[in-house]
Amino acid sequence: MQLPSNTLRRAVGIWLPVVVLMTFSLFPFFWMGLTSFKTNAEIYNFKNPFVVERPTLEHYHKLLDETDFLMWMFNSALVGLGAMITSIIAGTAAGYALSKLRLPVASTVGRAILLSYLVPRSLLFIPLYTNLRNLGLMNSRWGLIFTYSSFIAPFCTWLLSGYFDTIPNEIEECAFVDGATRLRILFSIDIPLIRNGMVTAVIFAFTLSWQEFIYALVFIQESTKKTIPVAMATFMKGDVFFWGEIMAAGLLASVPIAIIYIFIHKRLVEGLTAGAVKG
Amino acid sequence: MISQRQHDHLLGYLLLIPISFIVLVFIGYPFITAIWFSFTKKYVGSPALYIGLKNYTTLFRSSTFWLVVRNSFVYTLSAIFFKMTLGMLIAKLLNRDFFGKDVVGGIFLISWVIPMAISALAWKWIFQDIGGILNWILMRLQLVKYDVPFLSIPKLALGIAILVNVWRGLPFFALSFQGALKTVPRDQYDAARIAGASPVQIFWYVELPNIRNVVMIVLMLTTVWTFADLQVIWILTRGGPGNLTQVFATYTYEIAIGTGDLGLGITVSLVMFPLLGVMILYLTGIMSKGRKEG
Repeated sequence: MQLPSNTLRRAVGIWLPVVVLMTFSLFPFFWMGLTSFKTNAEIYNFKNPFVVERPTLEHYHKLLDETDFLMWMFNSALVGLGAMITSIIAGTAAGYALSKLRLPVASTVGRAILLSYLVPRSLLFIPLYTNLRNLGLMNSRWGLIFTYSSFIAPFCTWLLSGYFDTIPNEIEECAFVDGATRLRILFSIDIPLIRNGMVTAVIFAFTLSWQEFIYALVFIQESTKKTIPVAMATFMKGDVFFWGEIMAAGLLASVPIAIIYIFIHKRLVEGLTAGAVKG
Repeated sequence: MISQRQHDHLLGYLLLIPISFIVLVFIGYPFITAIWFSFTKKYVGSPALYIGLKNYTTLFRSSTFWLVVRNSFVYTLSAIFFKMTLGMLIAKLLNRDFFGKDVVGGIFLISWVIPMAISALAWKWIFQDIGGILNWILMRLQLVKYDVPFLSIPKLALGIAILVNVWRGLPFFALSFQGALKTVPRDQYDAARIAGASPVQIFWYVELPNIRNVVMIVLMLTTVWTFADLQVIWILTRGGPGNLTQVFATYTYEIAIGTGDLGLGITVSLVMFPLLGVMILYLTGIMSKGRKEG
């Protein structure tokens, strides 16, 4: 019969891989959350690890009361905001210039910006380390904001110039005829036209900053100034990891991201696939 | 009165000042400094002493360095291989029509949105010997008799790092490929099917040539990111056991921050650079060759 075998094929060809994929994808988070609600006794000694016999909030209390966790979240948000603002400003300006102003150096500059994006942070962190020290910017979130823009701004430039490219030149010509200046056109016409693209750029900028690790690790030693990723990865005494607290921190740090993500998810997908199609 | 074009150019250069400043000050200048440091003996706080090629010869004579080279290549090439192939398969899966596919796609992307540090720690916890869930599962299945410290086992440690890297990177690949696959013209598919092509042939001769650009860019980006990556390995193993998962980024960190010898540390990264270029050329060359055959 036609129908059952088709259903079976769909089940195996589509649903089985989907289930495997979802499990593989989500398991670490599920396990992280589960662990965070177990007492230390249950974390290390369990009969059935998937059952929490005595759920507890002790790790969360410890995290919020005895550590700088809230500062870490604040720092990540602060640096993210700062890096995002500088990068969007630089990226919008440069993106517009490269896209619309027909500069003779446009393609060279564009290529230089792309190349700079390829220089790895694991190379630059050493000279930047000494530079920041000399400028007295060690342990400074400003230091992070500036160094972060070095890899976020080029990305935004590339992204936004692509969006500017989608605006037909005729629109600008018309505005010219009406007597508008370039800057006026940029602010009153172009930016509103690509506001979806700008939102995407903002999201990416913030995401890139939130995830950064090596600069934050090397440039900040003081606990109250640390960002989330580094603080969590160095949350230990000597050799001992406090897994309960670390998992709780992971969950707490992930929740706002996950919530925001639900709202921006469509934009993120557009951004990623648009970047892909742009090639 | 200056012409509109001159005015545009002037404005253009002005608008390029912020990005130029950022790139020159935080990438260009440090890069030059890096090259200078590699020829010096430099510790934090003390001035740099010129020592010529001594850092380079020290490295090339060190067996640990060559281990780092090997690890970096194995780590990167394996991760790239899995991300490309699995990413492509997942992309095709998610492009198919089934109930709830948007939700599935959305959930799948979560592992890419959550900060890598958090994910790496979650995986480290899974692989722990004491309290790790994997050990519990394996013991229940009676595959092991006692707790296995996976991340301390020479052959396994790097494999685990590769796994975590792939797990984290897949959504980016899948999504990029998804978008690219959607741009393949329908009529090419139809023509191939009429000609009786198998799925593999369709992939090789219809899909791949059309999405070649995207694949190249994704390949290039991921090569750079993976080859120079510190986060995953540093969090999982710090480069252990005994340097067996040490890659360029972690080795640079250990020398520069661990021992304080910035000169030697930066040399490690600088040696990575041309190797990275070679690898990119090689991998994108393979992609071009594939296209010529198609």
